Amino acid sequence: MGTLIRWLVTLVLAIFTGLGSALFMSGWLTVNPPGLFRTIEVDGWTSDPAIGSPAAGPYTRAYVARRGLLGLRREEATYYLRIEDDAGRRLREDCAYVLEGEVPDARWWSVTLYADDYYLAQNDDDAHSIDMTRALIDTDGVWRAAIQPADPGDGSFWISSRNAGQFDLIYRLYNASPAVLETPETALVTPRIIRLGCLGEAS
Amino acid sequence: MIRYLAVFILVAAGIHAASVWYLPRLAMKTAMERFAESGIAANIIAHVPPTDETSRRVVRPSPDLLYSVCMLDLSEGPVHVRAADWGGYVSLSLFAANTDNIAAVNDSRIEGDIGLTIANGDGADVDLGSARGIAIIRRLVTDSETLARADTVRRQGDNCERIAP
Repeated sequence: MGTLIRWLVTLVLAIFTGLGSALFMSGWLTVNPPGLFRTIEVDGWTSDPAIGSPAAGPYTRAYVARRGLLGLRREEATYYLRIEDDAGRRLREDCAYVLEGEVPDARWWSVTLYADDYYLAQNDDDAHSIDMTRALIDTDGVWRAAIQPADPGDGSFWISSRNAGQFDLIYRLYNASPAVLETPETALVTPRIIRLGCLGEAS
Repeated sequence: MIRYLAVFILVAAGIHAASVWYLPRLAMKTAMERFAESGIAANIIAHVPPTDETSRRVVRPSPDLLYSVCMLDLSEGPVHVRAADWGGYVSLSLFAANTDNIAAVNDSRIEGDIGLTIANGDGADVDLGSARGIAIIRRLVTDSETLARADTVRRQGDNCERIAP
């Protein structure tokens, strides 16, 4: 009887360990696994050139299936993920940010805000993203957008974080130039994210 | 004790490898079931409404793209998918059952409509490598005017159908 129980405990522990480690290392748990989606890192924006490719490793494929299913291969589109502001603090709904950057070398680009469940934030503000066709380029060659839960009302481009919780941003580049694809560390311009303040913070 | 440890390692490693292999297929299967539940049948083009906060079939949809989908079932032969030209960005991409993006073609590479014949094996433009999969047509629409135009074009010109034997 004692032997049977020991074998049962061993098997149950092995199944939990195997399944739990697979879910963790594939990014199917809320905790971000180390290393995944970080093959490329440009100023805090991370990506993996194997997204969508048959050459993708099993963990990358499983990660993308959970957090970016039906992502295109890099020749068509590249995706960069950002979860922190420029000071390394987690992006949060109750803070206000300025998102700003230069124009990347691609046919089309956009930055979209996703809630902590990887879908568009559950609000009807119709302000989930900024893209090449709507961004206004200032005289200094920089486009800007405000990210915050309420419309700033000052005429600036607004991306709503209402009901987004701890959100993230996806920077999409469609038909990026060969230089951006091959040497993103030097050829890709990435948006900056500056935190202006948070609710409850002393100003 | 060594026996317990050896069995623990073997079983844990096996479960781990099987799970990592299965997870993408599970995600794809779930997405296809969600499409099917909303009335989208295999090998028929379906035009997804414009993306907003209620779009929850597939994670991280782009609100700037208009999607049409075809649930591919190649078990009875090849299927042809056509994405109609509309003067703006349009792409046709094909995903196998394990989530791999087997092919992606956009308007800058092809004059006029984009058309691909897909099979599970040789004898078509694309070998999907699985009997089930998804074809997605994306169009860039960032204002109501282009949205209306793209919607009209896709309803008139996009197509997905099994090729008669």
